[in-house]
This record gives sequence, structure tokens and C-alpha cells, in this order.
Amino acid sequence: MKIDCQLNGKPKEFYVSSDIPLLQLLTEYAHISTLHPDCGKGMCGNCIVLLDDLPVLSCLIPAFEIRGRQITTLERFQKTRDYTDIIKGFERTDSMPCSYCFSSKILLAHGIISRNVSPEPDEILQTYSIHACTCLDVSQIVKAVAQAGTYRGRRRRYARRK
Amino acid sequence: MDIKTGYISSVHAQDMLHGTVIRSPISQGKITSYDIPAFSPDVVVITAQDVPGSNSLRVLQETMPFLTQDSIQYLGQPIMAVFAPTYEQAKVCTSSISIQFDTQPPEKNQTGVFSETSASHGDIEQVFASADQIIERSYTCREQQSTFTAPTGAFTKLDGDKIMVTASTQWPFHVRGTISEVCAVGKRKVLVRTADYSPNYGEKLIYPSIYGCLAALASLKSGKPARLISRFPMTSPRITVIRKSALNSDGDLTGEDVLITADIGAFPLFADEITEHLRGGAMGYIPAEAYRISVKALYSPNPPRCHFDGFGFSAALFSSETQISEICSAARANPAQWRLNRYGGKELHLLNGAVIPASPLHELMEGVIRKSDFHRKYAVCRMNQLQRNSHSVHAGYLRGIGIASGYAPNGFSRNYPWEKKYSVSVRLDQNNKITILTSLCSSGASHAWKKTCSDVLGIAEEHISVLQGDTGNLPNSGPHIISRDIAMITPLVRRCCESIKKQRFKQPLPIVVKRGFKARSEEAGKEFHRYLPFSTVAWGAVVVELEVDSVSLMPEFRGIWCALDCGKIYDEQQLRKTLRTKLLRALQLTVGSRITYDYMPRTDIHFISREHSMPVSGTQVLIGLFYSAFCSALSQALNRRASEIPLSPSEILELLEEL
Ligand code: FES
Ligand code: FES
Repeated sequence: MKIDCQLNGKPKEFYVSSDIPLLQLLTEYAHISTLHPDCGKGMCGNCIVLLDDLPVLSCLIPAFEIRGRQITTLERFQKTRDYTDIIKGFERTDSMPCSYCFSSKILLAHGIISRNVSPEPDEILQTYSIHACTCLDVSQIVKAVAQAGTYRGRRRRYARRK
Repeated sequence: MDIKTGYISSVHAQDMLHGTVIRSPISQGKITSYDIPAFSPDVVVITAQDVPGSNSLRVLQETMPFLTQDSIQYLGQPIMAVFAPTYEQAKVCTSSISIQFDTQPPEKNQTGVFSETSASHGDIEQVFASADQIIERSYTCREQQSTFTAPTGAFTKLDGDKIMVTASTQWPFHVRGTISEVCAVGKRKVLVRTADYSPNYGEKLIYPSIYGCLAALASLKSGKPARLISRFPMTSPRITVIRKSALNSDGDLTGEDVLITADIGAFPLFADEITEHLRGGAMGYIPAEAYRISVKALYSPNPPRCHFDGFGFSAALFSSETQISEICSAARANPAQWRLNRYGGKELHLLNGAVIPASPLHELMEGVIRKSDFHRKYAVCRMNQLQRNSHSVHAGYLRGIGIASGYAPNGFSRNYPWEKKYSVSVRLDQNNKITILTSLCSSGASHAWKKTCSDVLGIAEEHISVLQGDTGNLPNSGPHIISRDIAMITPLVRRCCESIKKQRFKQPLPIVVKRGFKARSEEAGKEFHRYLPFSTVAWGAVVVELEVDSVSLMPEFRGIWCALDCGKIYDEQQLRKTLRTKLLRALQLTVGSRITYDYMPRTDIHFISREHSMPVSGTQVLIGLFYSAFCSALSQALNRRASEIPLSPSEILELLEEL
């Protein structure tokens, strides 16, 4: 089946079986290398991508669902200023995730702060509970995302003023 | 900032074949026949008949079959592999292959004990016959499956007559040796590069060699690059410890009788090492007139087990420390005070009467007791526990606090001949730059190695690097297991640097120094080794405070306090991060389910740093002590005996329902 979508800002066509997971489409057919899935069934949270700018578990999305939609992975996201806000937040609080979960953690943070630049700790923890990593301290992750939100908020205000 | 994309799942090549493994769905029996349909020419099937060399895998002095030809020895044993241009196609082809089995156990059924060891002293029967009180308990660390691990697999491609391999392996030279033997090619023609393999549960020690061989055979057969990633679930061994303690009328320990069994799967991989670690961990710190410890590594028709964090020392330590808490509970004594009284000052008396002259246990214990406010909380929880005796389980809080302290080793237990083959090199170049060469790679340890070089040679850290390479240009430093990177490699790096220091300004540059592991006898002068068969140990004390939610029956951790002596510390922040990760993983294994960010407890990790010693890894000691402190706290909270890891809410309910 032909599936067309926007992958990382570019129109793409895939000829794949309609029910393969988006994760497989991205790793096997589009050679996206920043995803490191472990479980393939919604448990590890390490396959997050942005679907129309919202973080989703790509292993749970069937390929036919992405027709005509926008998919963004870290490959493209790391070229944006939104990414810089998040990285600065994580760097500032010394809580940089490891390379294994990096992509998912960054995109989750984007999902939170694009809705609300001053998220409550509970909101951050609930969102991150989708991810199985236990390496980072709870307080660290809360601080990192809150800090990223502050940078994002500042940038938005500055842009509005201009 | 750019991220590393060094995982095996990120390795691609033009025309690459994707592989899947066909595994046995039965645990014992025979393959009677199989039927492989005619596939398109770009599909490659690898069976035992395609193995040009030896159809086996050597792990130190033991072997296990690579692809089985007829007899099935464990559930999930690899039978064949299918490679196709896409993963989907490989899966479709796999499902069209039919294999018939005879599920009768094979004639010569393999059963019994792979390895056993024991230690004893005094007349144990006599001591038990004259005991005033005997406390007998059984402790179990059940088998557990690994979760959330980096992908396990291998990628191969041909380059002239060479096989280039990238594998997510903890032991690149094992991958090289196995591919060389299985594919019947010279070792020098196989070049193995390590892909990122963290986080892992020890499953990347042996299995990447199997996947590497399968991919290499596919590449040799098709001439194309091949990649095989497997998500075969990995399981830790089940370890059961039965401890019997004899006490006199003062509540002092007079005898200990310990029986340990470990189910290590269908092949005796690391069997001797496992029994040695279990015996070491079972050796408590309270001397007794008589003791007997017997340890057995047992066969079962299961896949070779993975060793999540060491070879079982933590499980045995868990039993020793929880038994002490049980003895205290029977004597109605405060477990912290009881331990402090027995440990005295710096001297530590082991179960076998040996004296360790400079143990930091007392200091570590005092640290966690103070920080956690143990005495006060223990008194409150104890009172609550006593009051609850006469009421229903839901009257009052289900709250408890537990403490444990002890040591755990790093590295292998003895210097087997193979250890002497492993080495590390350090090179000082003309431009005054230092390069460390080792096949073990770990970002945490490499920092310690650089600091060590910098300390000895006075060269700034930015001029020191760890060479990234493959088995062609790196020395064989052995498997990355039981914290060998920190415990074994760091002293070797120091020895190399000390030798360079002597030669520097006398010899022309570059100066290259290579050092290997020493035999045990060469280290005999050190007091510690007379009693314990390990090179280095880390010490620790842990307090766990928890409350069991009376509706969900999930233990909610109110705090975890740890104090550790990990020798010299180069980067405290990094070490704290690493240990916190291990601790949270242990917590996940303890409650038997995936824990999430909103569940994570407050953890306080404190270190004693010893300037003039080598860095030591605190992982094993931390895990063993955490298990023990957790069970003691849970026993107090529930007023029932908790002695198994993991304990899920349904098992906690079963405990509560016990009369
Ligand atoms: S791969 Fe684990 S959640 Fe998607
Ligand atoms: S897995 Fe990456 S920080 Fe935990």
C-alpha cells in the first residue's frame, strides 16, 4: 500500500503493508537512526516521535494512520530552536539523558512545554511515566523540563515583542 | 550538541539483509524434520548444515551448541536464521518454515549439579544440638526478565577477505573468537567493533556472539551486509538460600548452616564463578564456633542465564543480612544497634573467625543511621507493629524501616588462567599525548582511567584519550562484567603509567607499556586476600523506609539512605548518577514491575572517599544491601516474614493472608 506523509519536513511515499507499526516504517524503510526501541509494545517509551507536533509511541501507531500527516523525529527536531530550549534546560540542570533514550526524553519535553511553558511537577512526571528509564532523578527531570519551559516562554515573549 | 547514534539498530548499509532467528518452542526433545520452502534468491537461510567450522560456542572452559541440529536442550534454543532484504520479509519467510519436534526428553537427559563448592569449620551438629534457639529461614531471588535494554545484535559485512563486525557486545574478543571458529576463518580476518550496549542486564556477554556468527554466515553466503537484532527475553538465575542459625542464651550466634542452590540453565557457563561468589556472599560478619556453607549450581532446561549485576554475590549477601535482621527481630533487638555492637571498631570478624583489620562498616553504619534518623523511626514502627498484632492488618500504618550493611567484590573471584591473557596498554606519544588502549569501554570508567594517568604523569586530562577501535588495534581486556572496567582496568592503567613515568625522559618516544593481570599468588601479601578470594571489595550500609499502601498494597518508599566506601572517587557526581540508576533498577526488580517517574523515591547516597586506594564499583554491594533492607522494612510493615525478591502486590496480599 502507498502511504504518503511529511517526514521531517519533506514529502515522502512509502510502499509498505498498511498495518506495520510506524516505528518499523521509520527504522527499516526511512532509516531513522535516533530511535532505539526495546519492547515494540508500548512498554519502554523509547520510540517516541512527533506526530503533528505531539509526542506519540511510534510502535503503537499503524502505518496507515500517518497518511497526510507530519512526522518529526530527532533528526529534524535537533535543527530547531525549540530543541535548543530543551537542551539548555537539561544542560543547565545537569540532567542530560543518555544517548539511548535521548530522542524520546527530548521529544517528551517538547510535548509538555509546547502546551504549557510553566508545567506543574505532576504534569511532567505523569508525561515521563510513559518512559521506562529510571536513571534520572525525579527532581532532576522536573527541574530540567521546567527550566526548558522558562527558556521557551522567554523566547516566545521576545518574539512577540519583536 | 549532536548525539551518538552508535546503537546496533542504527547501523545500516546498502543492500543489507535483515535477520530473524527461529528458536525452539519446546524445552527438551528432538527435531524430527523440517521443511524449508523454496524462497526467492535474495533470502538466505542458515541452518547447522551451513556451519563450515565448529558448531559450538566456547565460553572460557565451557562450550554450548551454536545452532542445534537435532536435540533441543532449552526453550528458545536457536535452530536456524532467516535473512531477507526487509525485516518483514524475513518474518514472513520464517513463518512459512515448519519444524516438527518430538517432545520426549532426549535419551541421555542432562540433569544435576554443574558445580559445587563448600566451606566448613567446627562441629556443626554439636553446635546445633546444644543451641538455645535455632532460626531457620529460606531466602529466594526468583528468576527475573530483563526490561528496557539496549538492542542486542550484530551487523556484518565483507571487506575483501575480512569480516567486519559491529556488535552490541560486552566482550568483543569473544565475538571475534566465536566467528572465527564457527566460520572457520582466521582470527585476524575478523574485526569486531563495539556498538553501544548500555543499558544492559548482562545479556550482551554471550548472545551477541551467536548473532554475530549468524550474520557473518549470511554475509559469507550472500556476499551482502547482514544485521540481526534479537529481542529474546533474558532471565536471571533463581537463587535460593536456606540458612539455619544456632543461638546461645545471650542471643549470640554459635553456628550457621547454609545451603545455596542456583538454577543456571542448560549449560554450565560461569558455573564455578557463580558458586564462588555465592559462597563469598553467604559468609556473614558474625563469627561462629561452627559453620557449614554448601553451594550448588544446578542444571535446568532453560536458556543460559544472564547475570544482571554480578554472579550472585548480591543474592547471598541479601540472605546473610536479612538473617541478621531476623535474629534481631527474634531477640527483640534494634538491628542497627545490634550490628554496631557486634562490629565493634575497625576490626571485622568474619563467620570463619578471620579478622579484617580495617573495615569501614562502623563508620558507614553510623552515617546512614544518623541521616535516616533510624533509631527513632525504628522505635515508632516497632511500636506500631506490636500494636497491630492484636488488630486487623489495616489498623494503623503499614510502615517499616530496615537496615543492612556489608561488602561485595569486584572482578572474578580467582585468577583463572584466562585472566592472565587479558591486558591493557598505555602509549605516550611525541606530542606528550597519552592514549589508553583497552577493549573494555565504559564512559564512567574512562573518566577514572584518564584521572589516574593524569595523577601519575602530571599530564592534563584533555591530552589523554581512550582509543576507540576494533579488535585489530585494541588489546584483549576480557569481558566487561562485574565491574572489571573500574576494578581491574584502573589498577592496570596505573601500573602502565608508573612504568612510563620511570622510562620517560630516558627512552625515546613513543613509549608503549602493556600490563596484564597478576596471578593470585602474586597478590598474596595483602591481608584481605587470605580470607576472601576477591581482588577488591566495596563496603556499604543501606537503610530503607517504606509504607505499604493499604489499598494497592504497593510499597511506597519514604526514603532510601546509602553510605558507600568505593575507594578513591574521581567524579562523585557521575558515580552518584550511576549508583542511583542501579539502585532504581534494583527497586524495579524488587517490586517486580515497571516503575515510573512519579513513583521514584528520595534517595540519598553518601560516600567515604579514600585518597590512597583504587576506585571500586559499589553496584553489587548496593543491590544486595538494598534487597535486604527492603525485606526487613517490609517484614516490619506487614508484620509477616518477607524473604523473596521480587514481591508484587499480589504476593504481599498472600503474605498478609498468612495466619
Ligand atoms: S518500542 Fe517500547 S514503547 Fe515503543
Ligand atoms: S535510559 Fe537514558 S537516561 Fe535512563
